[in-house]
Amino acid sequence: MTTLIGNLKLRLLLRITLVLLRRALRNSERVRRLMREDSFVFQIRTHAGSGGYFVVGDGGIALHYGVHPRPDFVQSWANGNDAFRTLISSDETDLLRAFEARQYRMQGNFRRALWFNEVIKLARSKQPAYVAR
Amino acid sequence: MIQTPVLIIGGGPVGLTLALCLSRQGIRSMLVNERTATSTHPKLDVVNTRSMEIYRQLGLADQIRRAGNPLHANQYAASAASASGPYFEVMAERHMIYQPVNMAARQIQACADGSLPLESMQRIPQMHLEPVLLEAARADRNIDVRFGCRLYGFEQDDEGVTAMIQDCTDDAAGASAQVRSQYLIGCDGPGSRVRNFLNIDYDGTRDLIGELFIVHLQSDDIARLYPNREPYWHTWISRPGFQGLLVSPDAGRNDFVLHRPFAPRDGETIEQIIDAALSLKPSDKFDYRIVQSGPWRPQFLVAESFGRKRVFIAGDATHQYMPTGGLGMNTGVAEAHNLAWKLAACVKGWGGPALMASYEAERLPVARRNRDHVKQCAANVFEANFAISDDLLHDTAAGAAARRNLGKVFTQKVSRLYESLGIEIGYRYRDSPVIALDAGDDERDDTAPSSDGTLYCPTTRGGARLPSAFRADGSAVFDQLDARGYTLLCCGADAAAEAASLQAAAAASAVPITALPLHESALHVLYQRRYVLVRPDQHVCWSGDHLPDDAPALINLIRGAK
Repeated sequence: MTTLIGNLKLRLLLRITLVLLRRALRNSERVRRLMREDSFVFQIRTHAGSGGYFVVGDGGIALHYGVHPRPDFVQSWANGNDAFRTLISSDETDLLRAFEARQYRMQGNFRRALWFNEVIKLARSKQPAYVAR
Repeated sequence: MIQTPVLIIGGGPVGLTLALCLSRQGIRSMLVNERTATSTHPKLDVVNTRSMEIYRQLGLADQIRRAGNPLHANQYAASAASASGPYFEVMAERHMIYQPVNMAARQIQACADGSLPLESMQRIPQMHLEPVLLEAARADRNIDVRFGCRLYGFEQDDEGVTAMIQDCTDDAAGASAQVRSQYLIGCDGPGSRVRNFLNIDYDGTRDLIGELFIVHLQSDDIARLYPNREPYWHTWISRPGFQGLLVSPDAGRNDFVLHRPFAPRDGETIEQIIDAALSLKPSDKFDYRIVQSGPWRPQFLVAESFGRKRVFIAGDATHQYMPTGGLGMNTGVAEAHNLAWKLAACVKGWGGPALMASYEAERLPVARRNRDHVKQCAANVFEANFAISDDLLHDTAAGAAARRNLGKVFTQKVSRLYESLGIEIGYRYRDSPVIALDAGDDERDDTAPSSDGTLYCPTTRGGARLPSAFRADGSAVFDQLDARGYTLLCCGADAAAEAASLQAAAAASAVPITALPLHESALHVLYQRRYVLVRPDQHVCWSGDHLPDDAPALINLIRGAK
């Protein structure tokens, strides 16, 4: 039951993330530029295969549930609850702590993770986080 | 009112280097610095090859080497489960960069194809570099050093800049003074007041990685963990449940810096973190003293502009990088070097209006390129740790295989941080208004033999740093270049005699130019062209097999007069 709830929370989080990113795409020139610059598949899943993947390309982003056969970057979590708790945190350090604690593993090109972190940060910010002094 | 040709705000390594570079050009400057003393934290741990070439031009390379890692000591980078081992890989022989300075110097002297820098890197902490630079600046009559003094504000007009500075030492009670200068340069760090006054933003998003944690400790005990009691430069620690980097910025001293990806967890002490980095066995005890510790946030930011009119910025004021790749201060040193001769040319009167504008045109693309490199290096460090497996430390065949794999992945990924001569010396100023490019040069870039720019390919194409080489008598070509003016390398019989027309055109505009005949056939091959015109910063601004028909036009281009 806990696993099921965790998986559902992860799916919900991915859906909310998509909404946030699409809103940012409409409102932020920086996000539009980032989306135009790259194309790749970013997978967030549990070891058991729950979760989904974002497809970035052609200046847009889409979400699919399930496991992509050849993602460019993978975050694979021990369980959905850990993923949900860590990914909703606004402190990037929580992600680093969770990695060292082996709550999740990574594969692929970490530049994609930095890219994703940047668009999430821009999407979450009420003020333009991009211009900083 | 105090008068000075150049007012420099900030007395860190970049500000001090700028003042020293200006003095080498014969230009006086005043340098003000809010702090009253140099840094007490190790901070940076390397002066890279290009910066060492610059310090050689300033006559400071030997002093810096004496203040840093001993010439015979290693500059290795290793991957291990802890400083006590087991070690998965030690990068020692695979590149000149890891060699002790005296061994690397022999390799450099034997290099005939221009593929190596004139100077190898120097492992040294900022807290030992700054005193060398400060001492040189204080001994220099051209430099008025004022520590304990801060910039209050400034205004600029067509002829110069009027700044208000304030003494912030206790006994001065805030005494202020006006300074009138032709130029003002902000080398005042990441929170640059000069940049803020100019209303220049950073290009980039802050805090992409979060908050890292750093501990500066001193220990005479840790050295025993390393062969010959000589700590490796970098020991990357990777095992399930612990990741970090133990830096020995100077094997001849007892300072160490431990980097962690985050601050101590609740209930975790800094001592526990240090102990875990030093050994897998909780029973192992080491003597050490914690000097200071705290969180910090790495950034990947570059200023959108490098200055306005008569006020410019350099160093951390233009860029903030994560230290992966060691390009923070080193990019700033190259900026100061680029800026100094241009300022001198304008103060002396032969520099044209486009010369100062070329500072941004040349250095902003390099700052962005370096940011990309640093970001990739950071990504590589993370990716190396993807290979940590649960059985890494098991005494089994699977454990042994996991250790071999981690060592291999570490070399593949983390070597980029060190083996990147293309980044350090391989950039070209392609978009500069004061560089004459060859016809058709826009279409190809033979300075990028590797797609990521880490390999260095010597070239004398416009904008490139002149490849370093040695004359038949063993002297370095770089040492024979004019640091205050242009040098026309003349390769081949009669080439120098034919150079008179260019020299006459230069003389007409008061541009200093010296012809340097090179008779060595090996240098003719390396330098590719019969004539190579080199700027005071050792970058090529024109090359060709024939002197230009319109010599005044070329002179006007390179001095920024058109």
